[in-house]
Amino acid sequence: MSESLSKEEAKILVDKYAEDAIRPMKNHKGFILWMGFLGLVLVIFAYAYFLQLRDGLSVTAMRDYVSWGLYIANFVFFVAASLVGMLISAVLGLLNQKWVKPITRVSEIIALGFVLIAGLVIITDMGRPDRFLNLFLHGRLQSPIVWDVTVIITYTAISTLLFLLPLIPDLAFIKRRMKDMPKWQYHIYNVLSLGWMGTAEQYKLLHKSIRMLSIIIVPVALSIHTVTSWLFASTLRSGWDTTIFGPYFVAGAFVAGAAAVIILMFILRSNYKLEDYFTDHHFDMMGRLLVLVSLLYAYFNINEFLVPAYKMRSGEAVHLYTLFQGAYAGLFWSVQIIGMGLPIIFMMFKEWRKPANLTFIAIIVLIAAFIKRIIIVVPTLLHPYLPIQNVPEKFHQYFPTWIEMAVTAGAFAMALIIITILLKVFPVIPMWELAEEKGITEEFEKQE
Amino acid sequence: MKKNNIITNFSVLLILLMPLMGWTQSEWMVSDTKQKEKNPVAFSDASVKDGKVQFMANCKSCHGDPGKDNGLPLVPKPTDLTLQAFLDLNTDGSIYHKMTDGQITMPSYKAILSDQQRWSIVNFLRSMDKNHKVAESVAASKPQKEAPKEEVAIAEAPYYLSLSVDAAKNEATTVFQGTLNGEKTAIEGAEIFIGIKRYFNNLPVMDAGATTNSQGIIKTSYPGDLLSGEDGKAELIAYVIDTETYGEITAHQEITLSPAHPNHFKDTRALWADRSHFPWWLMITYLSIVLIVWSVMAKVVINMLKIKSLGK
Repeated sequence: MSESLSKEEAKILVDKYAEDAIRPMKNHKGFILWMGFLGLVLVIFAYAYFLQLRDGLSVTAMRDYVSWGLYIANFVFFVAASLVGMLISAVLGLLNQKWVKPITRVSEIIALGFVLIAGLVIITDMGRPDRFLNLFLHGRLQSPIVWDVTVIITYTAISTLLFLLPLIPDLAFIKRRMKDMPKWQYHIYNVLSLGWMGTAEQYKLLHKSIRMLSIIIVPVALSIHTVTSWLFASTLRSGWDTTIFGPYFVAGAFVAGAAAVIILMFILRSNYKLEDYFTDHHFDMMGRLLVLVSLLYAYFNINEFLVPAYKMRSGEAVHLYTLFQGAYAGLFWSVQIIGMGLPIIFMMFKEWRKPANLTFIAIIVLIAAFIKRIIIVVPTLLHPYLPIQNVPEKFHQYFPTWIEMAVTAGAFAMALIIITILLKVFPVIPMWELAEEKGITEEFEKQE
Repeated sequence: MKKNNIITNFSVLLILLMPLMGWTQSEWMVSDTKQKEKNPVAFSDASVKDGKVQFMANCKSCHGDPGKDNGLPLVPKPTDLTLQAFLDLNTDGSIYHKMTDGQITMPSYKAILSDQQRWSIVNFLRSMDKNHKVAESVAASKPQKEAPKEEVAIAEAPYYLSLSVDAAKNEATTVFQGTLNGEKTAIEGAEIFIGIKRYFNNLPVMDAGATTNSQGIIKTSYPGDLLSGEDGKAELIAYVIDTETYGEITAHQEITLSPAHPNHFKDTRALWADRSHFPWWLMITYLSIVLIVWSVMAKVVINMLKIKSLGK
């Protein structure tokens, strides 16, 4: 591709990689402030969770009917956001989409941050978290919950491998290039770079391994969110009892994940001068990708709501009326129109795929994706087939308490802390892959 | 059994509608013409007895035991219909039409009880009415009603309740006796519950409102084709309903009903079975997927170790 690059040019380019990759890791402006803020959220979380542990789940707004609330909606959101790692680095990578190269690590970091916390979110939903182990000791293999635990653990493991594996050459590179780093940091790089020398044989093994992981992660990622959807779809409840819940969830996950990647790309680009890696072209392509997955999601939404609404089976009708013109109509239509319909239309115009504009849209899409999870979880629980009666007034509706909100905010803070630390410790730009693309691997691996 | 279903349905309905029923029942008046309607069913022992049976089967579930004022705690509260105040206030026609038409929580019994039965219930209620003057045409039958009451009711504790079973005919016999002058004496007119013991309540097999005859006996048959456990064993239970007068007196008797053939749900490999009985196809699918995915990961880890060894 770039055989024309002279030795001199190659050296300059590699030096530039080193500089650009190390800059975000060294630049600590605002880092303390940001981590301090997240730490504060964590302190509030700790207090709220302490209250929940002490007094039990009655401190939440969850009662007999709405037994899954903000926590489960948040869990679904986290799993959804983590799915993007698979979409970008595996699917698009296997499709040989060269433009995704610089974005792969961003998407892997998001995937890792969210999937690591998703499991914790589930534990916060448990009234007796000390009984968590019972799931492994006494879980029934017939239960989708056990399948969910299995796939989440598996996906976490694969995501970790798929994050660490492509880091090997870069860490060896950083180890050589980065000056005056603390000893522990050098040790991390030393261990994780596995004595990388950049030999042809090592490259062959690396490529082979990445390819294996990229292939295996596709079905695992699909199943992680499909099984999460089965937690709902395998019950006989209006709104959940549908056959398309698996693909519907997966499509929704791509939307949320792509939006998250766009936002993180924009933050990195504007804070650390990485315009050369997250170029306008990348935002343009991510915008197109978001349109594509949003259209897919819209297609599933039409199926999900139009088909039952056409029949209006009595049980479903109560639920659907609540969404279309009842208590949840405001949220529902905002999410569908502002969070899905309008972004699709806007993003079809090139102007709105410019970095800042696209990020603005992505933020709206991400917020809508979160609210959509609440709309999926809560209204269905409020409409059991046997009408709710003879129960206290507050059982008839659900609005999360401050404790639930604080715990949820804490989960976000944890995920963001993981993402921030990963960004600080590891180079966000997959340098060796770019070097390989430019045909300057030799220069990149040159030992000094 | 069918009547019981109707009662259950109504009771459930009543409980469900409870919160909606805000207003009191005190103003329930029946039109003049209806109030003045005369009871076409003659006041006789037979009619009172029939009325009692119907009352026990249809009214008691809400209005409670006659004279005990222990109706369900509904709003408005179902009146004890044997209260003198109620009987004084309502004419025969009034009671009859309230039963017939119903109002709010009180369902209409028009379709459930025949005309004759409804009027018999009126007669039964009147039999507890101190101020009740029997019309002259039927006065002749009145002494017969009053007579036995005064003769009995002297028997004292200890009381004896025996329960015996004729397994061939599926027939149960209870004998209720008290003590009079040191000797066992039959107690007449006592209500006895006879039923089959269940986990949470007993399945009644006697006729509602049945009372002991002059020998202190109630006979009833029970459904022998009822399924009960793997060996068909069940327990028949009898007790005196009027615990205030007689105290808690019960009798038990083991009986054999039809054996139930257990379906060995837990022994089949199925989705709903316990964890040691999940289906083979699921186990193979689950384990093979987990195995394939994790062995790919293991292979990758081995490759990483190879990379490491190449670097030395």
